[in-house]
Amino acid sequence: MTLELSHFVLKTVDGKPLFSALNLKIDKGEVVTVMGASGIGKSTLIDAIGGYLDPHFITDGEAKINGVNISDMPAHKRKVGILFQDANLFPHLNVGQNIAFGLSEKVKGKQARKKAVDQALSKAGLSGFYDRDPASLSGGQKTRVALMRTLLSKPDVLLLDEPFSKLDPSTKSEIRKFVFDHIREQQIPTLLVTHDKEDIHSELLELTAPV
Amino acid sequence: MNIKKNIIGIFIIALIVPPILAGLWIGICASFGKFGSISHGPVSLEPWGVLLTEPGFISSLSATLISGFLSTFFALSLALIGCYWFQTTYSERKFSRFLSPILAAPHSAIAIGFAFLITPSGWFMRAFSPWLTGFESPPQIITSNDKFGIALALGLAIKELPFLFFIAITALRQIPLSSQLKTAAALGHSPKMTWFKIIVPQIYRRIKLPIFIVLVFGISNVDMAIILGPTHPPTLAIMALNWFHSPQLEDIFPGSAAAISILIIAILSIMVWEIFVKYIGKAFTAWVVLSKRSSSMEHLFPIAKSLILLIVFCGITALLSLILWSFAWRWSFPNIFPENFSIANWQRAISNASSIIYTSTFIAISSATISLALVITWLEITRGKRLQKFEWVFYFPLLIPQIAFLFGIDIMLTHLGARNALFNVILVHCLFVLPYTLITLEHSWRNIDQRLIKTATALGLSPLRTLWRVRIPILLRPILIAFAISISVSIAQYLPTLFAGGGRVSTLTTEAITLASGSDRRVAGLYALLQIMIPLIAFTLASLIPLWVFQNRKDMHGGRA
Amino acid sequence: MKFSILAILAMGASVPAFADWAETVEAAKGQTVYWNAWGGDQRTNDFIAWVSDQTEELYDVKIEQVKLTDTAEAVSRVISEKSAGNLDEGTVDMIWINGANFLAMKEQDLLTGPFVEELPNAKYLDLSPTSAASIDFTTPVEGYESPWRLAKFVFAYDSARVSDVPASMAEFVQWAEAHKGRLTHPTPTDFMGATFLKQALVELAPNKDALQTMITPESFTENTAPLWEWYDALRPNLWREGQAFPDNQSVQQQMLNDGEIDIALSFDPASTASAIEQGLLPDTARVFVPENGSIGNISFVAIPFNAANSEGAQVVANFLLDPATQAHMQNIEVLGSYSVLDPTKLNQEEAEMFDALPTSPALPSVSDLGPTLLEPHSSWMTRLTEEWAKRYTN
Repeated sequence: MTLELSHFVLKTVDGKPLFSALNLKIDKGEVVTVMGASGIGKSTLIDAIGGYLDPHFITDGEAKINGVNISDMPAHKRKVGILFQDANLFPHLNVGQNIAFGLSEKVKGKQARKKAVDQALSKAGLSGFYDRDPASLSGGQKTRVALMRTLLSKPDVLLLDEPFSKLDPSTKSEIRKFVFDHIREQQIPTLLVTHDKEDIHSELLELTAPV
Repeated sequence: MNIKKNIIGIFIIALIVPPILAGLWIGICASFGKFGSISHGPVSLEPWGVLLTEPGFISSLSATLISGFLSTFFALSLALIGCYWFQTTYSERKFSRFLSPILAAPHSAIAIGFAFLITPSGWFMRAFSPWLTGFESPPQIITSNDKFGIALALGLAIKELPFLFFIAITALRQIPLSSQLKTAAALGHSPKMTWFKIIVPQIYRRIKLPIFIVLVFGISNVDMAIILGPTHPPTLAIMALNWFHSPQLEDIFPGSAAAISILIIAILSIMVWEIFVKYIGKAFTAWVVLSKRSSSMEHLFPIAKSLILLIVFCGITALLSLILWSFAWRWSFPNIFPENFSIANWQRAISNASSIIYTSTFIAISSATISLALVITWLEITRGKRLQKFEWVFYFPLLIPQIAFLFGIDIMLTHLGARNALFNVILVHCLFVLPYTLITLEHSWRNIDQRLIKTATALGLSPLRTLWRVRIPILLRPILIAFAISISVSIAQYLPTLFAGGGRVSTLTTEAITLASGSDRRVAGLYALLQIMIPLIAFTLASLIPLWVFQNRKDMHGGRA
Repeated sequence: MKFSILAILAMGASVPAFADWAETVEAAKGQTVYWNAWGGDQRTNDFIAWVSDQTEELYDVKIEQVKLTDTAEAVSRVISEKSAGNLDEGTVDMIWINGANFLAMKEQDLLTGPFVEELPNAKYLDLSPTSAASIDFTTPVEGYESPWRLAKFVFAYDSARVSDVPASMAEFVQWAEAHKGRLTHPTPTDFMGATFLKQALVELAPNKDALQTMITPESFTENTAPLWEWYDALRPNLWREGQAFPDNQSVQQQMLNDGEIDIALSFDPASTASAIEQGLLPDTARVFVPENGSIGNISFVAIPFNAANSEGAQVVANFLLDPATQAHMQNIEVLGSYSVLDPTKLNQEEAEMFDALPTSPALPSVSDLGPTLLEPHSSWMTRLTEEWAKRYTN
């Protein structure tokens, strides 16, 4: 599993690039952190890789997942998991159902699926939370559920869009550890976008204004 | 101060609830044989016996249920799936341009046009005859006025689809749509499946009340059923109306039984619908959490899209046919356009209809003004108050079948000595106009930027002056739109005008429906057209006036409302 | 034209026949008469508007037509006013009425009267006890309603589509078999639909005298047996196989115009000609009547007991009986409805107004119309429609 960007750049429709071209390769279990001034296009980069690029922007260069160019692939086929600033739990489903919604459809059978969700919940330290209303969870709990939901969908690549920025400072480091531990365990190539220096995990890449 | 506000609030509620309850009570009593001097005795089941043994009662009941449920289900599912299409491809403006005239048109006007489209000698058949079908005379097929009420259901769906569509779009604005779509896509779900599994259930929860209003209207309506519904036997509502209008005084009893039976059917229908949705909902969630990434369900979208286009096409064509008819002299089968045109219909209408146009407009403006004043008062005095919880009572008149309480209200008004028919009509119209005024104004009123109000207060303006100087001017656009919608609701009222006006108040709608069961489609079409023109003028003014008033105020355009 | 009518009317008005009448006219001044009349026919509505203009000019009496979809609406209005204790401020001043509705109102004492003989223009009427103006569906009128237009049952067809028309009601069975789905009648809850059945009943009943008396279970069974047999044979070949029916004759006329059916029916012999005139039927539409004649009656206006503008209503009723009004009404370009006046009571000048009226190929002559058959006693109509509903509603 790899994510590769070569000469990758984002432009506005009138051809102005947002930042200098990116070249990077993220391998199994690696986490690359991308930082940059606000407004330089960090979230837009996530949108571009995830497949939700606003039609006001265009991309140039190549983005490959496992060696396959993804630029013409619809978002839901890219196998790119994302954690956003908000956990985005669906308000009308309970906690267990939210996780089940992410669970790969390859896990068949009611029992097996329930078991997989329960396991995920206990990993997240939320055993017995299956029937809870997501609105009743704390911010950290929501992030953990969102991560479990994403991991169960078996993504090939993970994008983290400032997932800790809205968390309480007291739980921030705990959740951060929780997320990175799980990513390492599952060996998923991960791109983290942030402006919080404490988020920096390993390799760091600065987005800079185009020359 | 607070007590005073509460008293005013309770007074407003008292304007609505007691008359309806009293109206219902008179109807219920009459359905058990108790009505003034001609009572059957203390309690009699005879009226119910007459109703249940009436020839064709079962057919009538089934046509009533079919038209109610089918139209609601059809319009709702298309609206829910249709929002997807609207949200992803079409711009709001482009599509709503086609929906607005259908939304503004009274039910009866749509029915008159639609009846002409689908009748065996209608426009659709003419379009393909004789070159394709070989029909020199209209074929012997059953289209409109079918026994099962399917034509009626389709007619209702044409009218309800745009309504539910706009309601659904409004609900959609309260859902963090793009983040939910992104999240689901990141989990591998296609946008269409996400729409179906995640978005639709969230919209549904928010629009239950309008759905029930549509369902109750489908079951109990008279305006469309007279024109498109079965005739032999008719739907229950028409059956009740016929009894109420029978020269035999005794017929008030089975008429009341029929009217009250519609109330019971409406209540049961809402319950059945709820149970059904609950049951479906459970199976649906079980299916959602299986989280299949693709499914044949996706094929529903293009089907729904074509059906929506078809329905909107029918609605627009129906309205176009009215225009053609109003200028036609002779237009016989199988000609696709009139043989010759004439302005005679319009000339005659200008001399005859002017007083009717005047009456309709007067009633509409009066009831819209009263409703607007009451709604603004209500919104002002209930700001942050517990009284707000009682707001659902304003939707009472829409959730109870009209025919179940209008007869009683009519009797009550006569007893109270309210003999000015026009005045009675305006009052009764308010019952049905007010909920729409409220529903359209409520959101923008309550979500006004509080900082502006605080600033005004800090500058020393009294609450009343803040209302006049800040709130109303800022909300001018939504207020005018609410006013225009109120006017269109009033113009469309048929049964309330008929009962409260005692037949003495002719409006464009009563006239159009009377003419629809006549021999002159040209004049019927013309009146239906006039019915639509008044709301359209109101809507046009509502959008133009703010542009003119605030021509140099950039922040007053778009957005806020 | 207008000038001459006004001149003649003014002459009539200047010589009041009764002193009481002058008082009535005086009291009527400034009144607005709410005339409750079926509103499905635009020409009738236009005619009523014309009458209003005339009476306003001559008598200062305005007319506001309350357009009904069913005359019964006005009757039930009066009933509910009576039960609510409204005895002198009634909202219905005048009703275009006939048959069952008249009987219902008369029986329940809901009408003003007798007033007809006090109208000056009543002198033009044949008010002998057995005349059409004295008996409404076998109910004696007794001065409680005033005639205004003549009704006679006729059929209309499009001669361009159909060349053979049935010569009797019995022949309709063969005709319908040969023209499957091209015949229908209004639903019998409607007055015209009931008349279709009554026309057949009058022709087919074994004991025709029984039809003129109050119905009995025996006479009903005996006299309707051939009718139901006839209808059973007819029904499968009707439009939509006799499972659905138009609401009234206007809808049926529209169906004839659309070509959905081949035969329409009407209670107004001139309606076809006037419909052609208005572009509502093809030029080739014609009228026919069964060879043995058809049912006929007169349309009346009645005044409810509690009418607030009763004097004004009498002035209007009188105006309607004026020879100039009747001639104007009979004009095919106006309404084309036959006059209710007795031609022998008109003077030469008055008779000439009728002779001068335009004609039309779709306008049957009096001889084309054949004999006028008597309406059955009103009790028959109620039973007939009930029984029909029982047999043929499913």
